[in-house]
Amino acid sequence: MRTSLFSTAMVFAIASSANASGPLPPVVACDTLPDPVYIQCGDTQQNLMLNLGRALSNNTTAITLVWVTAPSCTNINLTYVGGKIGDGSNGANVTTMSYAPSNSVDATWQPTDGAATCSLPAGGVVPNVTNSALYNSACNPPAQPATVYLAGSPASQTGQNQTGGLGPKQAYVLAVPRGTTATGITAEEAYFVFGFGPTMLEAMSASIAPWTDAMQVFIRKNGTSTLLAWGANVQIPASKFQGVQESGSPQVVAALEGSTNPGAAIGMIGAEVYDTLRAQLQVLAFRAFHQYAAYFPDSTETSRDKKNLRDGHYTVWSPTVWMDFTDGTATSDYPQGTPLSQTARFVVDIINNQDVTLTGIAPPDFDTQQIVAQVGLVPDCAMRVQRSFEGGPLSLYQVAAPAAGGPGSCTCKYEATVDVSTCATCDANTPCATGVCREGYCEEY
Amino acid sequence: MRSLMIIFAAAALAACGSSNNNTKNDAAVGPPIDAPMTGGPDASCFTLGSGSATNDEIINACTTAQKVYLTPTLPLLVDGGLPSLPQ
Repeated sequence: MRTSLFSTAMVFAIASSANASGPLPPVVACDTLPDPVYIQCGDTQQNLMLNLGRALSNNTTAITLVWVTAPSCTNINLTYVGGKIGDGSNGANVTTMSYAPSNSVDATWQPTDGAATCSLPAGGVVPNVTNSALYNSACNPPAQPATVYLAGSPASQTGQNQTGGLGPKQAYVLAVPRGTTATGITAEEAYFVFGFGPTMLEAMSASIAPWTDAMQVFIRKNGTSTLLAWGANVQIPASKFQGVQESGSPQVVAALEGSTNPGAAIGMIGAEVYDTLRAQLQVLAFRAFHQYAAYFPDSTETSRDKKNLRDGHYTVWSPTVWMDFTDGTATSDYPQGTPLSQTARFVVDIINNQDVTLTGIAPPDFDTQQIVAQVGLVPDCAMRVQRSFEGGPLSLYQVAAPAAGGPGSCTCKYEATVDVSTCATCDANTPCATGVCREGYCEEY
Repeated sequence: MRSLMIIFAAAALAACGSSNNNTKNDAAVGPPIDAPMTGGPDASCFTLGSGSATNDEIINACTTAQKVYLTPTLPLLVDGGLPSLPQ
């Protein structure tokens, strides 16, 4: 049985300033929104915030995600050192933040309309939740305070679970303008293009075709997960990257789309950003060091199954790490300390696909992991490989089965959500010949 | 060249001596660290068993996924390694 829940209607676009559904709601004070949870996250998580924010704003227990984006290392520093958003210290220096309006505020709003805006309280706010889109250790942060919660850490976990890596996984890609000739790039080529740069290579009487124009190599700034993830995979320290530094993913996209020399243009972005722009951009297959062939994040150039990320053939991926704050005192229920905000922990737990019973808040009346999948992230339960630091070696992985306290595999459901599943379907009257019936699919375990 | 040959031999021995259940579909071995890989349609792959697998076995596991074979020309050092990044 082949099933597909994917449709073009489910494609999530980068937020634009244009609101096809009419004007955005007027700016309101953030602290007047229903149960606001203040979040500082990486800009690759913008689509997740828009879509999850909308769902939570309409949830039976309404919660408002109020977010601002900043580089992952900035977010980790804010988390570990402390500070506020909007007070000019370690948080993002802003006076307004973003949120997704509820149906009751704007019934026709769509995530593609872009976020609504609210104004910060005077003096700023302490974040409830922070996020990095890579292993925190990649930013060389100070020691993790006892008052910071990372899912899975430091319980008796291994690999990615030991480092807060239970969150959905994020792929990073190198993209070129659609219609140009490049189809793939090796780690060695990337090492030269981004570590030496076309100008220096030319001085060495060398070149890496077709990326021979220094003004057409678009990178992100130091401290961003996109740059650090690529650096870890092609052995370039962040401070040694060569290229035109862009301030965000939208700027890299604009640079590629507006390139005056498209055949020589190349830029680094999150895969979920690329997924919304496939008509304009073309992803490059990547061949890691020691690998025989280059692969796309998906099983083919046109599919959306992230199969190669999930099974280890595409190596440039990171966990999204979602953090909240505790009192730092371990209890039997909370080995990492009792959450300062159960609402914040609820948000972290639903993103990480963890049980929310302890928060005292009813499970959401929508499918969080379906939203995670639809915005281009891969739930941990669909992963078959793991690593424990940025760009580190891969090992085989299976999320814990329900009998061991985990969610069990969600591979079939994930594939059906984003692309096509070849798994058998099941229900109370149609048991699985093999595997376990979970949410309508015969999962492996 | 001698050092490269030694590394290739060591890699081959390591593959043959693997204690897991993973098998390679032919006798080819991976290149040493930092050496360019030309790959190609005849490159081998690993069939992963039920036990553990190394990073190189995982990234080169047999798959039906679309493959792109690349044969770049690189300004490598005379020993085939990558030069240090500029200061």
